[in-house]
Amino acid sequence: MKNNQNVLITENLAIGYSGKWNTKFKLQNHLTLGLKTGELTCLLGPNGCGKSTLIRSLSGFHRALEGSIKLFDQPLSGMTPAEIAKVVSVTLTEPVDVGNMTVFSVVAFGRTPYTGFLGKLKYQDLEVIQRSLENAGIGHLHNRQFSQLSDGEKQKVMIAKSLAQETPLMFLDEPTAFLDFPSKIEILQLLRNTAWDHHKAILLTTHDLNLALNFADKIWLMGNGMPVVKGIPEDLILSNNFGKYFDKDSTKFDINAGSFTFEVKEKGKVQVDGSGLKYDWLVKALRRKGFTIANQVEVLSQLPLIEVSSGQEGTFELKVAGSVHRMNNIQELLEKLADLA
Amino acid sequence: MKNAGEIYIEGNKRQAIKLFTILILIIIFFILNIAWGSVFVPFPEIIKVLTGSQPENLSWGTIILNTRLPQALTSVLAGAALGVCGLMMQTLFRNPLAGPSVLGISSGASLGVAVMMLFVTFPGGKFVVLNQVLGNFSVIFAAFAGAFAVLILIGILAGRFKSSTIILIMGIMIAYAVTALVSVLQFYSLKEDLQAFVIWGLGSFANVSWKNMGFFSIIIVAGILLAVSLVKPLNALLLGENYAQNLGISLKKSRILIILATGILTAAVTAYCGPIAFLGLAIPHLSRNLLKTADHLINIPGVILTGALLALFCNLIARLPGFDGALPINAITSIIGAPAVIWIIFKRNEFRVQA
Repeated sequence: MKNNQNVLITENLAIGYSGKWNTKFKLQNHLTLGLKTGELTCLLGPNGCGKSTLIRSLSGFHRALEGSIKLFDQPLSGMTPAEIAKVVSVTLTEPVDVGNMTVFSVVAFGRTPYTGFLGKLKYQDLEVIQRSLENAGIGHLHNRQFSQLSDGEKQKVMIAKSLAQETPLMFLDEPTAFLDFPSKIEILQLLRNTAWDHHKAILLTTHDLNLALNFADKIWLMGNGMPVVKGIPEDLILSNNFGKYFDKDSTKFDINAGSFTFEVKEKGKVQVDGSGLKYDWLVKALRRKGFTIANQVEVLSQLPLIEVSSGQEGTFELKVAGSVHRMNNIQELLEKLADLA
Repeated sequence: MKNAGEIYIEGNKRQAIKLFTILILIIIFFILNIAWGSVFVPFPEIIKVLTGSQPENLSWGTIILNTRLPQALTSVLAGAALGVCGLMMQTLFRNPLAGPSVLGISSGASLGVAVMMLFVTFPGGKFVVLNQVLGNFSVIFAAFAGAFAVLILIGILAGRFKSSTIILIMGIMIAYAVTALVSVLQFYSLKEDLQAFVIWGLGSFANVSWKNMGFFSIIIVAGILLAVSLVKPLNALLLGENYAQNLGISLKKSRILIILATGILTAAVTAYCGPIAFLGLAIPHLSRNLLKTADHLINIPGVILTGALLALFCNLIARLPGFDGALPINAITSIIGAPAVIWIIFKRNEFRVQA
């Protein structure tokens, strides 16, 4: 398998639920999507817009309401579970509770589509499992009890299971939820390397927008009642799509920083003079507290003026109403500003 | 440094040794079952009987060959069957409390037996001696009919509902309803018939005569073979139904086959031995704990062997020389099984409150 090959294509796909009397609750309509090998695709969107339903539909758990899903030009609806199992592997949000089982045995589940009648592992299977454990970075955990692992380690085990399944397509539903920050990064790095080096098409859902912007090759944005937008992260930022899909009254997408800003009560306007790291972080702190920064520094202005110098002592100099205060850190400065107000 | 695969294979070898140890224990308990009872038979005489030569006392031959030997064999078969049923139910419903009785299958069998015993009069006359009753094929047939009526109902539900939990709840409801029907039947039945039915309900491994042994063992072996063929879907179901499906398992087909295998085994055991309480629930816990694995490729032999051993043990206790005749097997299975399960749960750290 090489990179940049089409693995999955949907045409005019509608997803959702069918209820009684043939009624249909469509969550998304007219989806024309594609996944290629060697690419990590992140599916972003607010809760309830149909992210999990899309993953479930693409992996054959749910019947598509309309349209078609094709895996390697073969319609998904015509494939048996055994055939799908060799093309698509999933990692779901549902907790896995297998009782008494070692990590090795859990990863060995990935070989189920390939083993014989009794599911006995052959020598090749053992090799694939070993390799999957190592590629997922959990080679040392093989003999540990699965139930005793941390959430991040469990997630890696399930990814190793998917690797052992040797499918060109990997779907992961919120693989980074409930993980601490370093574990989130580790998981996304692992997935990106898997996509790039092992020529997999990986689709994952996540709420970690910043991580998605940093790791995704492609992003699909999904919203309630809005069409899905696809593209590489930077293009989506430039076209201001993030704002459209995520803006609420209290959050705004800052197109310069590539991250969200949050509304805060206005406290006043200040001038800041200086440069460098200390200047940058001071501006961030002032914005967080609700101060607006004046565009230009004018000595004669009535606004408080903060001067940032590079020295160790008295780094921050606050000039307000004729008096001058020297402070060593931002906390002192913010407290002073609060006193004066 | 050994790699993970080698360690995995070594683990399998250790489990094989454990299983072999249980097999030896089964042989020991089998012999004890034959040797021990309310009538004392000297050991050399037992050997004589078993090797086909004439014992000193002719009644010893009858006791051993026609009472103790079939009883021990029935214990082995019933214990193995109940263990396999319990394991399959616990995996399918992902519930450690599931057992062959929860789906109402044994209640269904009871209903069949109740209808036959309490209301149908046979040309042969009233049933007083239980052996006679079970010798009658129609009672066995009634048990099967009752069990399968419930089974088909469950099967239809299994196809229509996605979640196994829903099916489990339905099964429990069906069991309640069927049990209630049985008590209504009991209320309207004659005293002598009722007595025979109540004794059947207490459970016993002593009711399968040589005449019925062939049929009984064929059904049990067939049911167990069907269960063995389901090892792969059972294992995949450990991960949950969605993961199982993604591993290429056809959920609907597997679910129906698992329920069918359980139904065949439960119906056979219930028909011949009465509704045996608790063994089905306790055996899988014993096996999993002993073998330290959830893998069905190891646990199916595991429950077959621990089931046979536990049933032989219970049967032995029920017939200890101190007790006159034999205690009802249901009393023994619960007295032994309940503390065993409590002990297992107590030993496992993850269930305990962290101090």
